Amino acid sequence: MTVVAMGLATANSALTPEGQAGLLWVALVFAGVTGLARGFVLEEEQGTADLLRLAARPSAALAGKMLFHGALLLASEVILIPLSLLFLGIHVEDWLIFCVGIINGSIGLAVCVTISGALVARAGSRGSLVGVLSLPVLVPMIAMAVSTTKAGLGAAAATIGWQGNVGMLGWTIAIGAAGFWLFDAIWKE
Amino acid sequence: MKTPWALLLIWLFMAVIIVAAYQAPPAEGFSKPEAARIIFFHVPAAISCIVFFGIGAWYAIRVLRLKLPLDDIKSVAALEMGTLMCVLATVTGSIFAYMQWNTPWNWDPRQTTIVAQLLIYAAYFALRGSIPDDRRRMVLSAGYAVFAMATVPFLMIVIPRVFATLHPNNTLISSAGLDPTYKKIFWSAFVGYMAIGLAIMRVRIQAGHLLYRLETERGLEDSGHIAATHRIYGADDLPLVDPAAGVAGSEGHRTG
Repeated sequence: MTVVAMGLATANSALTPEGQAGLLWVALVFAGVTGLARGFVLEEEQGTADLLRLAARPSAALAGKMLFHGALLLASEVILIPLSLLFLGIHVEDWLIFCVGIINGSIGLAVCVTISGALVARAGSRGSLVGVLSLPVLVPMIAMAVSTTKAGLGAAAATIGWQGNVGMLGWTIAIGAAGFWLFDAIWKE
Repeated sequence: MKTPWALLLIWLFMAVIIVAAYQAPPAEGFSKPEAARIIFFHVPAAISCIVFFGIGAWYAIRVLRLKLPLDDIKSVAALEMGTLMCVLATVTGSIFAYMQWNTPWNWDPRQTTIVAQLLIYAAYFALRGSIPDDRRRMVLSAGYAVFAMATVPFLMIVIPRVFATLHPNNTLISSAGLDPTYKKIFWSAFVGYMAIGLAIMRVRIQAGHLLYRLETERGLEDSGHIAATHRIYGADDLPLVDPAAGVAGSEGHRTG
């Protein structure tokens, strides 16, 4: 829906690669935040979280959810990205930077939203709070992801694209390490 | 030192800094050199904000490890000061941008990242406000504070160096950056900001202690479990309830 709406809105105008990179990441983040937020929240709502606590160590539960969310996001991107390329008229100049950037960003997105989802699931209020908590934290990653995609579309130098990729990797490691460290306390609370 | 005297000294110190800022020569290299003196107030606020966020995260880590409400009060107080410093840095930065670049906001990476930082800590306070249970609020918000701190190096250090920015980089550590007069006033202003922030934080912690004590004692008195205060309080420097003396045993026990 997001991609079709964007395609319709920009049907008669030529988008710059900068605009295309931004719109592509709007679609990816939208798909990530709305879909992935259901992970731990759904477990709490269905009452299966207690069973999960008994069956698995906290780190194993978090790693499992991250892997599941990452796979789900990458699977949805298999449909979303070709549609975006088609509807937004995106022409990729450097496929390697473009694909590495998308995979890198998707992993970061899955890690961040999974941890935010765990926090929200343990809080009383649910739903929109996932977006409130995860979107500001995602800003640095989205900024680096957009610059990487711009490089992939030929609107920035390849060096900037690789710098963005390294930055995203560092960000994901930092967020993931913090997440694993604090998840134990959150999950048992 | 008693808090009112400390506050008076800090107030005098900051008055001297303000006078010194106006006595400093206009900064060459800026489009309006006279207005560049705002860096004595803008940049120290930005650095103080990072320091207070760091202090808040440190106490949040202690909350996750020890689960003491006292650490939660300290963490919140530090994060509130960090947010206040962040607002000050944003406002003074906008004034500075209007003076030098003729627009208060131009989506420069540093302007964007400081807004993201403000949003992250606004989300922290939104999370706190959404959890009614005291203990769960303490642990979950501490978790988010640690999570939020992991983004600070990327927002404040990495992104402004990856993207083209109007802000100069490495001015404070480079020998070709600030001249010696500016350096002295600048770092004195930073010390002043930190002293003001720590003094306000101290008052906020005292108020937090008081509120917590009142709520805990009222709750325990109602349920007839006053002695349990000893187990859950955990403060080194606070008088606790003496079960024998009743609710207000100000000379009572202390716990480690």
